Amino acid sequence: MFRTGSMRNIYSPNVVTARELAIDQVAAEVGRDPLELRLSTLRDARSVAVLEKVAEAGSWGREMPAGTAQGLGFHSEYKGRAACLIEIDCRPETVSRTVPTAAYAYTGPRVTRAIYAVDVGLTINPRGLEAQMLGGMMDGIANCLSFSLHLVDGAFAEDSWEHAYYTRQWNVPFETQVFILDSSSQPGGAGEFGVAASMAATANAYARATGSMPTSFPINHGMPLAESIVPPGTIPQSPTDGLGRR
Amino acid sequence: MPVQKLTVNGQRVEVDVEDDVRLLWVLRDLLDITGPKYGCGLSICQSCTSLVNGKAFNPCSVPVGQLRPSDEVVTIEGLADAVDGDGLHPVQEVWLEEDVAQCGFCQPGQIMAAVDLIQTLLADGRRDVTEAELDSLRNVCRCGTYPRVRTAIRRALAVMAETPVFVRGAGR
Ligand code: FES
Ligand code: FES
Repeated sequence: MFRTGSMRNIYSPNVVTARELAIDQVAAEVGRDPLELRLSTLRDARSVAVLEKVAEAGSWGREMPAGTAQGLGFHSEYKGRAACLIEIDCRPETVSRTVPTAAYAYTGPRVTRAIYAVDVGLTINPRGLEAQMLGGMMDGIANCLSFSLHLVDGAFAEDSWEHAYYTRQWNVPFETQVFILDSSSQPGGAGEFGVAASMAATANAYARATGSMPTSFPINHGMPLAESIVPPGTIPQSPTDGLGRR
Repeated sequence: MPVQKLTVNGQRVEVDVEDDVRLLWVLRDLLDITGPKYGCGLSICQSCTSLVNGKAFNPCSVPVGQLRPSDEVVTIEGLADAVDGDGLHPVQEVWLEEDVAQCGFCQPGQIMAAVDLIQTLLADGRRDVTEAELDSLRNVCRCGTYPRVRTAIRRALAVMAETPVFVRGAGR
């Protein structure tokens, strides 16, 4: 038996990612631009506004080198609207990069730029709201690319944060921007509102960069794990070499 | 039980505790210095990061008997007073201006790791920090404050390049 817990934004990231990937597929099928298709089907001005904002701020459609691409995600929840534009780098030299200080066996694609626009209704603390969106983006990127547990022979292979690959500095986009749209609507929630659209946008960016739509998440899940420092089922002693570590 | 003689945040202290007890528990449980956080006890999460002789280290992974009485241990509580001048350490000032902290749990470790990185760069005559150097920071932040950590380090480096500040004991 093992204990379970709740993930930030619960089911929305998965559901929204599936939907947004499907919309990009439809756009490709009928030969339309993913932004234009979304704008022409969204029915309210607030939804259009968040998407237009990220498209404009992120120069949607700009030329990018092969192996890199942009992706869009849209989400509506908590009486609000959110959109994200992600740029990802899936080139071999990036995907195989190593981090000298980390035990990562596999680093994988890097999100290089992340732009978010959100309308949560009346905003009381814009800096706090921006912080929640930034944190949510870190979760969305991790959900899409790196953060999972592996159940192997009845036990989880991950023994610590070193091996459960939640976003660390080496996964953080070089550029992040959050736009809070003026709104006179009723205030809604914001604590989890940064996750779903950014997971979806990362998945769409990955699909466009690699030419293949991801169908299971996170994308790195099948890749080699770092060697465990803790024998399964044991509670390890603290190391003794802390003076030399940082 | 052996008496351990330590210098913590500029004060000489003596504690009765076995040599192999890790410093983090001596700080937190015996000296009531709870700024360094216990996240993993395994030198992984970096939330306990503090400074010894001006260098970042993980107190969770140092048997207290390894420290000499003259080693200057600085925790987040003592950071402001470990440098010349009144008020907070410049990194703390920038941290507040950039509103970096969310829940705050990892933040003492983030700040101490940032101080160490910036001091190392300044000692090398550097005024800039590369993306790869920022990538190499291992501190886990489950709130995802990473982008503001990067911004704050860049800004604090610019401030400290103008007026260099080194924590007491650095260079030993
Ligand atoms: S508690 Fe020391 S590194 Fe995690
Ligand atoms: S601020 Fe909450 S864990 Fe970093």
